[in-house]
Amino acid sequence: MMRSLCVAAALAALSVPSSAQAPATSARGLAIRNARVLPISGPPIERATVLVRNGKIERVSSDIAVPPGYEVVDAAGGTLMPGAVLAYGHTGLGAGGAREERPNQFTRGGGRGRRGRGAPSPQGGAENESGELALDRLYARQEVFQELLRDGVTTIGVAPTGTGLPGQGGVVRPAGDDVAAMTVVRSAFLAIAPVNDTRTKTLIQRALDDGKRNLDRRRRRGPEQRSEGGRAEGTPPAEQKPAEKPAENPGEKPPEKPAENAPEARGGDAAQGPRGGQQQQEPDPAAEAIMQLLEGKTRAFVQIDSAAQMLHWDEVSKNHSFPTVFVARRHASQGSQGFFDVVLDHIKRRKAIVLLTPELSTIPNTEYQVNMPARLHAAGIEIGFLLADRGRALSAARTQLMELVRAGLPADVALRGITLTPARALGIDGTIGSIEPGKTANLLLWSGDPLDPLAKLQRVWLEGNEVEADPR
Amino acid sequence: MNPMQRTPAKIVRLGALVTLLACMAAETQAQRGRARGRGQPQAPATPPPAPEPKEPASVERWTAIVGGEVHVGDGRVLRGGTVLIGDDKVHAVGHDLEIPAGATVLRADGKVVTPGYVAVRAQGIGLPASVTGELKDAANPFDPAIKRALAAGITSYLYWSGSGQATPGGTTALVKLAWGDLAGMVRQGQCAYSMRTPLSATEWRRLRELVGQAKEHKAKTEAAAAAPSPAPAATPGRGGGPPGERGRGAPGQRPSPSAPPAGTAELLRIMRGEARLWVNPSATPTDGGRGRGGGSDDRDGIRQALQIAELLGVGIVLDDPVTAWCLADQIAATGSLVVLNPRNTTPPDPTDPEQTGANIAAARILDEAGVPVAVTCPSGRFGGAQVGTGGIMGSDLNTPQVDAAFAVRGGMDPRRALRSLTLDAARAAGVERIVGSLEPGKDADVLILDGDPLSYRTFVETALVNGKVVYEKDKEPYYQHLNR
Repeated sequence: MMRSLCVAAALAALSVPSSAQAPATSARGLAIRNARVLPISGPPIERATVLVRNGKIERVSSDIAVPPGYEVVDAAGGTLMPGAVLAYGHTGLGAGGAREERPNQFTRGGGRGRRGRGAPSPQGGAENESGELALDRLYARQEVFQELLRDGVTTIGVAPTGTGLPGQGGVVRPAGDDVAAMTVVRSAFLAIAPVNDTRTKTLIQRALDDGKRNLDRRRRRGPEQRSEGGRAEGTPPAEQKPAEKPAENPGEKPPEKPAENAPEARGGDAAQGPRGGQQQQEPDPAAEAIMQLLEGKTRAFVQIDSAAQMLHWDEVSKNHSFPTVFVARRHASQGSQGFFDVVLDHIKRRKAIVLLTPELSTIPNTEYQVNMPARLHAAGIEIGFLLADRGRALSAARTQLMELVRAGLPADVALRGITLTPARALGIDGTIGSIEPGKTANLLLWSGDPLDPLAKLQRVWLEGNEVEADPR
Repeated sequence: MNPMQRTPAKIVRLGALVTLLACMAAETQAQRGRARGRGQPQAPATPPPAPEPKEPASVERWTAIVGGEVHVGDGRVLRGGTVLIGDDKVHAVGHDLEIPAGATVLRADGKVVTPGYVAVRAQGIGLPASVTGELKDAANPFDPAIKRALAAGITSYLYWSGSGQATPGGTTALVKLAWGDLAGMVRQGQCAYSMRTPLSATEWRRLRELVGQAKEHKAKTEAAAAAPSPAPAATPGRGGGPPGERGRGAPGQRPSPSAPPAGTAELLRIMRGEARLWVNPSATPTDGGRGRGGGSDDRDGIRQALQIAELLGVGIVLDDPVTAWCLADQIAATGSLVVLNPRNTTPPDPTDPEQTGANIAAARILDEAGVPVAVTCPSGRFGGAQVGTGGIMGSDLNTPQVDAAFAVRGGMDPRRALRSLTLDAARAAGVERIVGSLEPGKDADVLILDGDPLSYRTFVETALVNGKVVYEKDKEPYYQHLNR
């Protein structure tokens, strides 16, 4: 039954054109001329030429000749900017991937869990799902990807749904016939969705504390096993050099496995398999994901909408430090829980990027509005914007951004907030988010300034291939 | 009232009580009640002393409120007095106190300094109406209602969720309005339980049984504690949920000798003075075929509540009674307290002598009989006695001092009326060890007012909770435009 439904859906989706798949121009080379280029990473370049080859940006300059064989696009009067990045949403999870209802299922089912353990939740509720990948639940052939692409969204972060520790998010490009073809990064971040109740707070706190304990144990064993003893035991994970990590892992893992059986027999190790000490442990992916986070090898996207939630999050995470991005999807309506400007120091202390919806916030019980993005920016906090995860996300956000800019947000921050900053949050700013040589050629050509209400989106390139743009 | 009854027997026990004036005042009332009552033991009216103030050396942050007219809350008024606060506690109150170097000094010349008001029943301030799990994990220290309550002088309140029926129950906590301080909000859990009267014959029998079991257990544990062998003391949970389920269930588990019998945990805590019992005496249906509804004659309910007090050996709190003023002496005799709103008046029924109604003098009559009265605000609908956040901009919050002033209008002594918002309210909430007066060792919840505490013209200028300034009139939008 399920299978036949899937097949039917798949057949229906085949009719959706996947124009970005055809490698039409990428081999030939593309030259976009005479455009005003907003590289985002630097100041605007007037009447510039952008050379694209093999899906990458080759050169950006105002004084280069177009090499022979390149397809030339004359963009005089237009403005070229990088494709928009939708950093956090549940795009494409709707068809069977969404798990919003899961807490209820668990409430009914009591403490039954896949691994039969996780964090023993006080009310038999949520458990640590950090081992789950959102992309495993993604269904590729959905029109929403086409819609987003036509609207100018060229990179999409997909986050798992649910509360507590719902899993890992990934990054996809809005084109491709299956998830593998769409995938840019399979696991880009660990999603954390705190809720202000004892159950969820306990779940997250235990997962983090267990993860730290396991790491300490692993690290203590590490130096003797590797017989180098280079690193002090108490070295915080965030301070490890990236270069060190790949080297140490293969050498470290095999010997530690038998050794870890001892704590497992005592039943105190969250990284252990649930099937007890008799069997060689197979590392619990959820616990492993938490340890990766604590080592600084991945980042957490933490959903925080209000100052009160920030204080609760502080309580939960006070003993740990790891790369953090705060995601505020409902901040504008959370005045009764305190706006972010009362917890600026908490955000700064974590050096976190804040991704928030491009909205003005209304002070409770009044008609007064405050520009929270502008306040955060003025306080020196790096901000990016959340686009809606469906339909004309960029068109909608553009109107809102205009309002924010009108209310005092610098225009360059607004545009960086939908391109380079979300790419930085996702850790893909090396290839995506700006118009620089070597970066992926995701480009949007507007008839005027993107923040001009009269400007229209004229052309969209995804990895150097032009796709149909939705001019609205 | 017979003026003879007012004669205070104040001095009798003073020598025995070493330290605090709160104790003295409470004792006074117990004595008053005993003078005319049936000589019942007066266990609850003597609050345990407040904790000792911190060692000066361990204090990190000093705050001094200097030059104001200080209403300590126990009856003393010090003109030009100083309130010295060490961290989050009152360190000392008096004249010419030495102010440590580095202290933050708040001048209060020409101002009135009082303890923060304790709202004995409130909802919707910094906490949702019902919470699964622990209260502190659902707290919202940035709730605008906190500022509004502070603007009205409320610095802490008794949170209620659910209630007991024929036996004590409900979830309560003393919640401090510690703006922005998550850890400082939920101060003490389960300081009160509630139940209702009148009880049916079956319910009454069941309650007697439970109290009997509880007393037996109490005697046993006290004997064990007195014995030289170190018996584990039974300490029911303080912070979290109701400890009532502790002894229940788990048949495989052998109950430890200190586990209380099922259903008696709340009663035991009430009998030990760890929690206060609130009884809501509802009116007995008296229509008798006359087609009228419940009426307002709750005397049966009150009498049964007093029976419960005698059974437990501790005074109880009568929650919003109508006819309590008719039974003032009997209430005083049990050492019980009354929570009411002086504005909740109901007219007597001339055709029915049983329907005495309630009048504005009720608070004064009870007070003169030696019954501590805690005043609340009326809630959104008439007849309630709790602080709500309803009304326009939470206007229900705005009136504690006006409500106490109504008690003065009914004849109550103004100082006693201020007490009905502070120390006696704290006693009703079962937290008089922690809040309600400016005695050393208590939480530093202090108001600086710009005039007489009970005047309708008076505003809160500055409010401190846990020793921190959390409200300043000229920095908050509510009243900053009103200058006098």
